[in-house]
Amino acid sequence: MGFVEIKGQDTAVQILKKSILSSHVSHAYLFQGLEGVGKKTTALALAQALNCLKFDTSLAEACGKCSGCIKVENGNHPDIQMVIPEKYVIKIDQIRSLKGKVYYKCYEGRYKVIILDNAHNLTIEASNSLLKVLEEPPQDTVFILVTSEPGKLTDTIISRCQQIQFQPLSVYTIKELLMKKNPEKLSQISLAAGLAGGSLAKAEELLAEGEVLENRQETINFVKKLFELSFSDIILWCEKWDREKKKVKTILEIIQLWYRDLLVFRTTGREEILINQDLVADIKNSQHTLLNINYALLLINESIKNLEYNVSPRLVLEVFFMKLKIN
Amino acid sequence: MSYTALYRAFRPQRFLEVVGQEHISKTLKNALIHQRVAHAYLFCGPRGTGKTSSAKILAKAVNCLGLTLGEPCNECSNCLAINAGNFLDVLEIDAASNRGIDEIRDIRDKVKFAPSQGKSKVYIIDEVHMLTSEAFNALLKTLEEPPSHVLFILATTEPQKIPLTILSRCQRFDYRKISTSEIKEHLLSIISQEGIRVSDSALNIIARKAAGGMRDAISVLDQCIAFAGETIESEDVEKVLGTLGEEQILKISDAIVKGDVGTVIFLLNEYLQSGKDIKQVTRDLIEFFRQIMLIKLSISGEIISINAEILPFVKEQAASLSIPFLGQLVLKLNQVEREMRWTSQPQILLEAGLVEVIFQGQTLEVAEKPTPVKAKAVDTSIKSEKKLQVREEKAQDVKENTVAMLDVKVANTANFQDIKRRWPDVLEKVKQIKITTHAFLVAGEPIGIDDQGTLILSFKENRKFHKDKILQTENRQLIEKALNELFGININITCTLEGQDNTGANSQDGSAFDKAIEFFGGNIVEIKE
Repeated sequence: MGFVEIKGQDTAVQILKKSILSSHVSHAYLFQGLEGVGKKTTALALAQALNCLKFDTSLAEACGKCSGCIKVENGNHPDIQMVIPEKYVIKIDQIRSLKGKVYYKCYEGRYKVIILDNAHNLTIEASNSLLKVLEEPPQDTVFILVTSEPGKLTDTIISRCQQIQFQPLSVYTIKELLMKKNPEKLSQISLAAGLAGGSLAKAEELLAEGEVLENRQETINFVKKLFELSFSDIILWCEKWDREKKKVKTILEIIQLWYRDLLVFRTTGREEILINQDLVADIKNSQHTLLNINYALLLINESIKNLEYNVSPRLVLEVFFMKLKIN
Repeated sequence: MSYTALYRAFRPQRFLEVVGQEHISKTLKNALIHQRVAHAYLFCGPRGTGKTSSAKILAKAVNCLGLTLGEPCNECSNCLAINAGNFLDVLEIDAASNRGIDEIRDIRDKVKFAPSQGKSKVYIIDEVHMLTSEAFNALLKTLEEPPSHVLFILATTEPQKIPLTILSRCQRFDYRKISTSEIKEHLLSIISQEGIRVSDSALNIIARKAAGGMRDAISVLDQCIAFAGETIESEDVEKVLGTLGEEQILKISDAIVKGDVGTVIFLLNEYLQSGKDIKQVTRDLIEFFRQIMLIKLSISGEIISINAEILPFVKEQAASLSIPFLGQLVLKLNQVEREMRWTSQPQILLEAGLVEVIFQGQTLEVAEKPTPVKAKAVDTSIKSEKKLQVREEKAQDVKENTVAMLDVKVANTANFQDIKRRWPDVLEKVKQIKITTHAFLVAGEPIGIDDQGTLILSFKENRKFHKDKILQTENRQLIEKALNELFGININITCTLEGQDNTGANSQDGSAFDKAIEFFGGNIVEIKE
């Protein structure tokens, strides 16, 4: 753990380190950014730094060896509370019991650190009951709200926290991190890193379901010849994918990235900012007009949203392809 | 000693220090001076505007021993005890956590007792909108006629959730959002007390970002101090917030103005690579184009927050944009920002949105001039042909003819879509001119525009009479005139009966057959008996 190990979040880490050094640690932080970019790791690193018994001020790093650090690392430090959603939501009772504990003094560390993971899952009641304590917590208490969807939090919560932005990781950073963990899957790493859209967790997921990457070619080929296919073909393909239990969202995202590349290349003519780096030739040869590409992107977005609303995945996919073809 | 956030350290202690709510402070002070303090107040308004602070000040003022001109002294024992939070008669209740009927019953039971320390007992019920409806109702009687030594202050951000019966028992004060200049002024006084140097442009960014909430503003300032130390420049603020710098905004808006999609997308990628936050970038663009729109509408004064140094450049950009386009741009960006909550790829959303609106803007210029359908179609094709050509040359050769053909078709149907969408308007218009024609016309519906640019109306088989009536010169001309007035186009109409074709559109049958094959695939099988 520790700040050193957090990659690609220089600004966020810098802000936190400087606040510790100048003893300007706020009582409430909101860590926001894509899933899998290091928000929770940073939260734990901050907790460690605040409770390290031999804090090194020259490096602004926790020592990692004292009992405080080791306990944070093992997740059993008595002054650090982790609140995680129960059955998808953080309930008011969880916040109430938290408030009971906050008013005790620190057991052994210097700060009580309360980490609310996936804070966007706070129920309305829970987030309201958090407001007062979040604004004026007892001494030496630091709240860290971690969320990938800050839009779902209320204004009143956001306004009480210092907001720390976490950036999507660069393709290079993801590659590096993946190499360390999975040196055997070298061939797929750069592709997974490109398709992950800046999220390490996503890249790892893609890599784990290696199949998805292999199927990318199949999916893109399908989209390319969509206009030659009949509607019955489309339905048959969707049925096939459904039978093979493919994730519709992943399929749509692959198509989304493909059209994004078409759009970017058509408008800028630059190869280096494309994501599907291995398909540059195909992208150059594409016959789509800009209007077509744009329409496709809007359709994909709508379809993904429909998936979130629990529409049957197979229907979403079928309707998507048909609409795309009719256009 | 742990650090206290600036927004807590600088919580106002007197009515005078509550920024931007003079209308409320003055009323409360006068009530205090003339000893006309009501027994129940409701403070409502957006986050960070001073509700809880005012409640605390009022609690102090009614208990203060040395009240001067309606302001608490902050020196007497009562004031000091309240400031320290250990005064027995001021009870701050978090209604969001204690929201049940039992907690309210508890208040009701204890209200009767006389104050133990001060002059009156003050109940500050914060976040009151979260009380359950039973709890609200249990409060009603007490709230209406409390003992003379009791003062209730309710505070909430969502007054619409408070039952009317509660509202009618309270004096209601609405806190308003604090203006950018007021926030800036207050920040200036804070930094001078803290001994910190902050550049003017940095303050501007902070004040604008706060969007009316003083707490937000002070919180950002706090964060910047933690990040940059004693002197804060606009670059530091931009880095902390992930917003675009002025120069960066100018660059990308310049590309948008010129319709240079390539540069727009390239710049966007560059900014995001350098660590800007995509949502913040979207918001920055919305605000910037809103400003351009305001400049375009010749609005001046405080509302324009653009730096004087770059104002000439902005004005130049404003000159080459039309108001409808700007409106569309702001709307689209707003929509994109809203949609971003749902997507895992916000960048793609913004890219697609910008491309769409830029291209729409370019065809919009054409659409503004009322021209006959056919001429317009050609016009569009030439325009977009030109636009496309530039890009196409970069990518590859596309057969120009096919593109042109395609576009004519698109324009034609687009126009038809327009007519079809506004068909109710057409009906209404016709009704105004001659009601009998309207009666015949409602039986039909527009189904398409043929190659000659004639609008085809379709009637059900049993409505032949209606069709014939519409085809009479008098009625036909009337409808054509209505279409002309509504869409600014000269278009002829013709009618057809469902099922049988009498207008010469003979390919219907065959195309339906083709379509069936296209839909379902398969072979043609002849059945012999």
